[in-house]
Amino acid sequence: MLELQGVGLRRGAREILRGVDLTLRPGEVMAVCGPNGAGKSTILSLMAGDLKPTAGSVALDGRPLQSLDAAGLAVQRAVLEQSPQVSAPFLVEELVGLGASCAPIAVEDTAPLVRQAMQTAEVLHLAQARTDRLSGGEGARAHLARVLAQNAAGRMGGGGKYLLLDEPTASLDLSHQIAAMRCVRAAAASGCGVLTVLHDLNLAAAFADRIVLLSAGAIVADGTPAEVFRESVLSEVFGVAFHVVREPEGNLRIAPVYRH
Amino acid sequence: MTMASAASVGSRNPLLRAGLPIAAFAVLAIGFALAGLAFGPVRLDLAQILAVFSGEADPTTQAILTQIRAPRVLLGVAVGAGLALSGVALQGILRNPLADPGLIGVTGGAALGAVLVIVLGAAVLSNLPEGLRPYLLPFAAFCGALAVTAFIFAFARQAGMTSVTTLILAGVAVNAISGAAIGALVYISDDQQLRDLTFWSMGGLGQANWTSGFIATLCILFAGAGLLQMARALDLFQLGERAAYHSGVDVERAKLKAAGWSALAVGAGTAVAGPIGFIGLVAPHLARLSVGPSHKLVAPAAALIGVALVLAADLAVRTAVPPAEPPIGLATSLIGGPFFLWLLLRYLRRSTPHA
Repeated sequence: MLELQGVGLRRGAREILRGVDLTLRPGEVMAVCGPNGAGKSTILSLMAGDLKPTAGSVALDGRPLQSLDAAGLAVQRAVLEQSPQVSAPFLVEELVGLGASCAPIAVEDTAPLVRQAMQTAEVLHLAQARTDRLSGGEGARAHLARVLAQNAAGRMGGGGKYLLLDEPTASLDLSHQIAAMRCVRAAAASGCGVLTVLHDLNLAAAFADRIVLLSAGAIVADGTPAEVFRESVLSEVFGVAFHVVREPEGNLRIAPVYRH
Repeated sequence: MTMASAASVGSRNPLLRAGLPIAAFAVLAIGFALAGLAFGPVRLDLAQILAVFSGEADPTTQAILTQIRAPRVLLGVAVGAGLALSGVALQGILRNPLADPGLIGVTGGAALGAVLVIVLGAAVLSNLPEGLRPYLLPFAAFCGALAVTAFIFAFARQAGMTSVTTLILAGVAVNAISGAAIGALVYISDDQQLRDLTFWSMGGLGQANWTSGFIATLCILFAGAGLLQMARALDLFQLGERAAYHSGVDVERAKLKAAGWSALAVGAGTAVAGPIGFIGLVAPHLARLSVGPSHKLVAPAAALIGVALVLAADLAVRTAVPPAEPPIGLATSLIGGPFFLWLLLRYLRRSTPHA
């Protein structure tokens, strides 16, 4: 379990997060939603270990996060940043290989693992392409493949328990958004706990087991999509009126009401 | 299926693809080393060189080779590899192809350390045991290099991020400051010190003897081994510092290591051979152009290129207008200057949005 207990973060006079209790469990997909500046990426950064809380504590499987070094953490969890970049013209395959290098695995296991990750993230056909010549969406998928490779390598090395993804669908077209979320579900099905920041509420409702709704640095709702995505809650948090309907297929359909 | 097999074939390729250029650079470096042994006021042929190694050469040839040319070539190898590997590390850590030990002030700091010892070191030197005296100059140069490196890295770091622009600008300022300090030291130095200073600051492998060459080589060997071990960390740094941390790199420690090893390599080389510019900039670039971005290939390739460039420049300056010997920095800057301009152009073009 990846746990935030009574976590607060203060930067100067500004309180970015306060009183956050949140536990990411193995096998679940948790979507963190909320307006800009609500603290979504901050929660992810705290769980990843980039930021240290100014109040409360963060623990990974019962151990304080600070007691693990960078290399140890990389085996346990993989992180996809909001706009991942690479400043050297690696081939996609080499980039994904960097992910696989994060856990001590046998050399002969690396190539199949890298290929599997590229296949899952739908970049296998780009294996020999240079990363600086990819489109935005292709680049995003290549980095997703890198993080999936890190996760898979971590699992081989006795970890690979958590995936932290900051808007993994941001620059993807509709079909690749769905594909990316399927990767997320597949990871959870294999026992990995996934936290993903998402702006698209419909995608969150369709693929997440659990929604954490943030507003102004605090959790305002935490539960299943049906429990959290209620019209009154959403309109209060986002300041926009919403229609929420359940479609015949069972999915929630969340639509803002546009007024001109 | 075809796509899958293409990918698996590709995964075996990079090493093979890089093998040829690395072999070519090795041949080039060995070629220039042999040329460095063979050419000079007295020309030696391969048979004579081999005769020296088997101990059958006449005393004059023996002396020329073992006392003059071999230490010179050894120093060239050390300096070339050291500067190139420092360039690889600094460019990698900073994610910027324009970083160069000379540009960001590391060489200037080393120079200041060395000049301090030449001008003010007499008192310290006389108190030092005989055996330690040759080490004072490289040690001071290393301290100067390390101090500058630590300063600019600390200076450019704001809110946990190292700004490369600030770092390079701070390097320019530090260069000016150490230049002024060196100027002041030159002003107060006596005739003998002035002579030593002038010879040293022109830069060149000509001052090499076995002791100085050996010390520099030893330092650079250590530093080079340290830098070569950083290949994976340098690769991951290309993802940005935060993602490098996510991938298991202790970012602050890696920066400290890269800066420390670079300072040692640059400091040791500069102490013995004087400030030699542009090798740290040019060699990593040529390496990346030929073997791709992976640092476990870039590092050895750049080291070989650095060796070849320094030995070639040394050969050029001592055969151009004999018996005079222009400073080696002249030759490296003559190649490096235009190369840097070309690099800037390329860099500018790439950062402007294109269709």
